[in-house]
Amino acid sequence: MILNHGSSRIEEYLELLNPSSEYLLSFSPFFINHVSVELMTDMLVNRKKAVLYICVGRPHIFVQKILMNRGVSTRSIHFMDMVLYVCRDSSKPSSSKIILDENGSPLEIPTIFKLFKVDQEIDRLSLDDVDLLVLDNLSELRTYNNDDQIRRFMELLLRISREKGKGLVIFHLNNRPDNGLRNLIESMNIEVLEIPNEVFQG
Amino acid sequence: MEEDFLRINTGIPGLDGMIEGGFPFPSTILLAGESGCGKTTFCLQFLSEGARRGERGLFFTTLSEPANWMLRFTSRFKFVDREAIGRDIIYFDLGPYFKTRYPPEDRYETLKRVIEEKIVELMPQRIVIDPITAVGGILREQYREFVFDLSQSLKNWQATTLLTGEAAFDQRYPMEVAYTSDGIILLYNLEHQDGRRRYIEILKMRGTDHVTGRHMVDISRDGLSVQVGFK
Repeated sequence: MILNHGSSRIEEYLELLNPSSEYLLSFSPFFINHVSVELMTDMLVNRKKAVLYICVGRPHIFVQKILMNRGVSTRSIHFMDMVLYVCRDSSKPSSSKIILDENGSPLEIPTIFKLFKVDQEIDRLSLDDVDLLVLDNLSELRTYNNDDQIRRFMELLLRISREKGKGLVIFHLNNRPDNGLRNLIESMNIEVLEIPNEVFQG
Repeated sequence: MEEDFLRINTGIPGLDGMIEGGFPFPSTILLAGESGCGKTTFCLQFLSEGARRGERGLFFTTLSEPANWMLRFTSRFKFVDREAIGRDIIYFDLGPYFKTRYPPEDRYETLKRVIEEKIVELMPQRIVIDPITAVGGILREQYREFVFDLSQSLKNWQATTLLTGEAAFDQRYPMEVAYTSDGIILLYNLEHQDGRRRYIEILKMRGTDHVTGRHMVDISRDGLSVQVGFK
């Protein structure tokens, strides 16, 4: 089901979300930072929810810094990095998750996606102190995986969120038509919220 | 699986058609050329195009020029919307952070922090650092590492960035910046019979089937435009 909304502000779009349900937020890649900030502000600050934020498009530190800059406390957000931070940040060691192979060496990003380590890692989580899972973002996984892999991954995410009673929000960057993905999402009864560019430009 | 990049219009007439519709987003692009070849005008067109499309632009200058000084010289261009300056195109001077009051060992972290703080604050889709090569004189042996870190970080902030630079006398482009960039565009101002002519050449554009060779560039009150096919 596609949620249609005539609002002119991003905050009003996000108010539509029930933190216990599953959604796919589809928007322009230009505004991924804006969506991260507004969604986390709404969930963490306004609704007092705890979030597991899964980063597959970029290291979590970039999301965390933007939130901190806006005064959003990240105490109730658990970040899970599925990418390697290639910058040589000398300030402090990162506590983020880095996926290693059987020899203890970091896996290359495409290898992580192809080996589907994301689902294996998520499957191991207890999620006891989390209300909502956020996947940032499905489009990045789509780059490295075929339709069947994406379908299996989505099924896993849904199984976890439904069995454990957690909400699920998946980011989708809408810079290319993807009818296969759209049909898949709709067949899983995940609500799709398309966010137009105009609401970021007010 | 074939990657289908999002591309952003460059704002330079003629150029988008040479690079499959625009610069990849996100990416870092090196814009290199000698003084007077049109680098800063190119950058302003790039940011003005973004502003026209509702994208925010952040212009870092390393030259300690105040915003009104730049505006004074650029306001005669038709593409410059004065209302957009300060609203959609934010101008930020990095010059003060080069000053000697910052010990040499602190300049690397200070510059990195200041650039990052401004990006985090504004969340721009388009960024310019003009010229990045001025940082080389300040950071010296740390410059290569700084450019590497900066380039990686800029892409993760979800922006397309133009880094401008002049090359050393024996180079076509600044090597330290080139090796981390997703694209390299050269601007020339070459002697030609009784005068000079400007040219553009796309040396590298990752993931893009781009046009090669030098092509003529005009600069008028409309800004730069590429005369594709005129060599």
